[in-house]
Amino acid sequence: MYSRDNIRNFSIIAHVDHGKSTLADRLLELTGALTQREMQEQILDNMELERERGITIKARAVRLVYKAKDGREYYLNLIDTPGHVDFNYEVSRSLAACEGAVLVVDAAQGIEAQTLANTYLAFEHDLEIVPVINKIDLPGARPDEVKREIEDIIGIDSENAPLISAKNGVNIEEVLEKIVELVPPPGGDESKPLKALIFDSYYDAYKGVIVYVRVMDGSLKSGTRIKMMATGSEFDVVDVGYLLPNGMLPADEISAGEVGFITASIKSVQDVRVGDTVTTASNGASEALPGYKDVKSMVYSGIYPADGARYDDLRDALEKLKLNDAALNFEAETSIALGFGFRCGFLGLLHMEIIQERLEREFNLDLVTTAPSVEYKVIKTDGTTISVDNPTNMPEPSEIDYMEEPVVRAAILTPKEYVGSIMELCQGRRGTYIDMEYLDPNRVQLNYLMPLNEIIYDFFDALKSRTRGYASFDYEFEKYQKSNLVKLDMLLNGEAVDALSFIVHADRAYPRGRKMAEKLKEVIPRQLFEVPIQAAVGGKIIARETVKAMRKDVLAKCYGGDISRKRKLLEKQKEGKKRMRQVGSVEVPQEAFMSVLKLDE
Amino acid sequence: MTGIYVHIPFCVKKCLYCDFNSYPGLRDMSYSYGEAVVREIENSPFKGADVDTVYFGGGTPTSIDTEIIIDILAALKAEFSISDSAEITIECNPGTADRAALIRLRGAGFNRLSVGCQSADDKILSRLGRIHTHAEFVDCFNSARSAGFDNISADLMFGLPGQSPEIWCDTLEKITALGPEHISAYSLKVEEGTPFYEMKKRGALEIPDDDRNRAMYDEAVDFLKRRGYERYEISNFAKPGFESRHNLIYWRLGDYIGFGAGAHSFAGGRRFSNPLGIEEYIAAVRSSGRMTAEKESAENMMSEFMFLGLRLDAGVSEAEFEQRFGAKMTDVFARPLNKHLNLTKALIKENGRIKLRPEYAYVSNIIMSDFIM
Repeated sequence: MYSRDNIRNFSIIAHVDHGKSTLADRLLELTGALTQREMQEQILDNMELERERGITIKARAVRLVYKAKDGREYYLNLIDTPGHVDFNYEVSRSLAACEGAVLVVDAAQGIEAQTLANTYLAFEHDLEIVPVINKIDLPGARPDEVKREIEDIIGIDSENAPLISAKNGVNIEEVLEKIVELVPPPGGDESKPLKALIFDSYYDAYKGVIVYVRVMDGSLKSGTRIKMMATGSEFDVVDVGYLLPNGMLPADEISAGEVGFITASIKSVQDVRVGDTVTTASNGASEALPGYKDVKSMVYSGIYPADGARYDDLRDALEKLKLNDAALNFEAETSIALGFGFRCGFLGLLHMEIIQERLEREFNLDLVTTAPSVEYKVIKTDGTTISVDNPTNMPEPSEIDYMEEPVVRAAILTPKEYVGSIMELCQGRRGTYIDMEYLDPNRVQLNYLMPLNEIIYDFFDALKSRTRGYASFDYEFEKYQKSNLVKLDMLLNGEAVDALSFIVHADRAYPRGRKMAEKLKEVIPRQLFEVPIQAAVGGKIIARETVKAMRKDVLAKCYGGDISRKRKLLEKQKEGKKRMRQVGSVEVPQEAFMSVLKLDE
Repeated sequence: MTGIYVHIPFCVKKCLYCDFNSYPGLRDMSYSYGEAVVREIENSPFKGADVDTVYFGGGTPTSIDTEIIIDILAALKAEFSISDSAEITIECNPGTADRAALIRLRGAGFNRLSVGCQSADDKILSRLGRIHTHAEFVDCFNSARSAGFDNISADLMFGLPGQSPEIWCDTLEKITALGPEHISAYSLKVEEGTPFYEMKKRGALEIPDDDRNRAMYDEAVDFLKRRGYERYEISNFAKPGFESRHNLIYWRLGDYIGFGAGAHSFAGGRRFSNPLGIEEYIAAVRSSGRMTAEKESAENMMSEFMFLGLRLDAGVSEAEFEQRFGAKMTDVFARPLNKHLNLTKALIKENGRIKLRPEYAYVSNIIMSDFIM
């Protein structure tokens, strides 16, 4: 029977690799939701890629039934959250659907940047935090210190935090008991007009979009005409119900405090925005739930089929991915160098990589991608403002009054010995120092304002290599800021290659251009003739390298008329050329277009 | 225009770079091998064909009893219609054919000799694992001349371990002074499965890099031109009128019939090949086992027409292409032709022929591979 007292809505928050998914599996296992065999796969991360990367990309939710030591049966709604900075907004909507959060901290590694970022998000939503120390089985485990860290840095009591090993199934029940004990039951009022928070959705070929909601007020049953308050679209509910580990359980209605699903023959995820409020079409709520944001792309990149004939396949694949990913945007674009492709907008770099990998893996496409870009604002001399996310579309310098670029607030957590090196890195990337706080005697949080276009190149890699992997990093959009930006063109054999252009701060143009020319020299093989590589800003050459002409590439003696052998050699060579793009008279390997990402500055 | 190739897979000692189908120390088998070749000739489905060139290659054909060779040639003459003006070549290595043998061969009908010289530098010859010195090459050459061979080709190699530009020039100087009618000059290629390959892998083989290799090639082209040898194919040079008619058949995608172990044939649009090993080959002939044959696809033939023909200084003829394949070269190869005639300008069109610009001959693979379909 429905009673809010025995409902607990919670999320698990953790830094990447601290064991969130494994703990979720154990909770499912312990509550009998799944058999051991089903547990072989981590259920919540149900995309192959997510499992491989050990991160959760899309939130999922599941209802567990737990008979607690007090003898009562509880419905525990576990709402999983994506564990990466690109999906901050989605995390915040998932947290908004909960009353509590289990904070998993690795007993060896302690608190990391995402631990903090997610905990602060949880605080913002007034969630009750249930700290859990995981991986106590590791040789380097230091649970007492980590407990102290949690108290000192986050300021929550962790005296009685369960010490667990999710991997080995140690002390999992204690976690369930703490959830029941600490997380408050949901509030809400059944008699008020319906307000349900959308925290996730996915597209099902048979049922249309399946909407994951947390009902805040009122109740919802099939047949009701509902309205999405932000988009204004209306639908007739087909089914409502609960989310079980092995499928959906239809119910007569779902009510305030509960977590469940809605199906309403919705054709497109575009109509179902995460963070939007579902209400009834008639006598609905007058005010939506707070916190809704239009998801905006932060990073853009051109995606082209390696084989131009597969343009239609690429479009179909992007459309299919978009069915399930409202944050993915794309529109057709044409490049002189790369032909027909798409300009795609992503939440961030990880989102971009995931989409690219899924296109290649799930749709068997060979892609050429261009260097990522952010969205710049160009204020033209005629007073108009345009957005530019593709360097090709940047107006002539004479038409530009000034430009603005997105700046993020970056938080870097690091052992103190790397502070100097990180400051050097951030300054080199045009970062503006805000402040630095000691989280404990050994660990520091550095706060910087940084232009996003400095982060999307190889900032993660540079940070990792400078700190031997110990620093962690988190960022959020802060503002647009006026900046002296220029378009850097790369010329091959005297011709500018559109797909290699990028927008860069004027002070950084020279070193970038030089590095880029050096990199291209490395990746472009010798050709029939000498190929000059030039970097240019506004028509002025700022760097030059040369790929020398090929000197020798000739068949050996053909004896006894064995022509097939010669043909095979040439066939092999032709096969190798498939990784090449003909750009003007120059053959450019596809990876060259991503070179800018690996400049190793 | 049909050519006949006879493979003699015997040699005294395998050179360190050699990946040809050749076996040292099996001379005992040469008699039964010779009988098998004769039998293959007698059973050939192409018997009676008009033949314009005959080529005995190896291995070292002169490393076995001269009479075996002569029996094979006799069988060919009996079973095929070999023209009076036919070019009949035999390969020979210094130290394997004395003057008497050369006289015997000349008398039997061989009128062209291809002698393996490789280098005029004895140190290099020994590093290559050759069995002869330069003096022995000179002896062999002179014996051939006195035996009546007035069409001699010398094989040279460059890009060799320890070979400086000076040593290469010295070889060119010494060979051209002897005045053979034809010279072929190939770069060393380190092939998998050879001792050189293993040496290279463990860093024990130092050979000139591509830039120096190219310089040697360019030097050869210039040098030989000054001495009256025209480059008529990427690696072949001849005094006027002495181009190898047999090899021209390969490059012009003409018909040829191969006999012997591992020999290839191309006739009537089909390719055939014999078993590679000597014993397998003999067994196959004895059991009247047929050569493996495959029909060549039109696409492959068109590609071959291009990539073989472009090796020649004369290039390929558009009219001949159309006559042969019933399609226009400019349609079939529109893309690569456009690319290399207009964009890279590595090809030129002259009087209905497409040719490789001489300066691109030595980087021709990158161009030819565009003609693979």
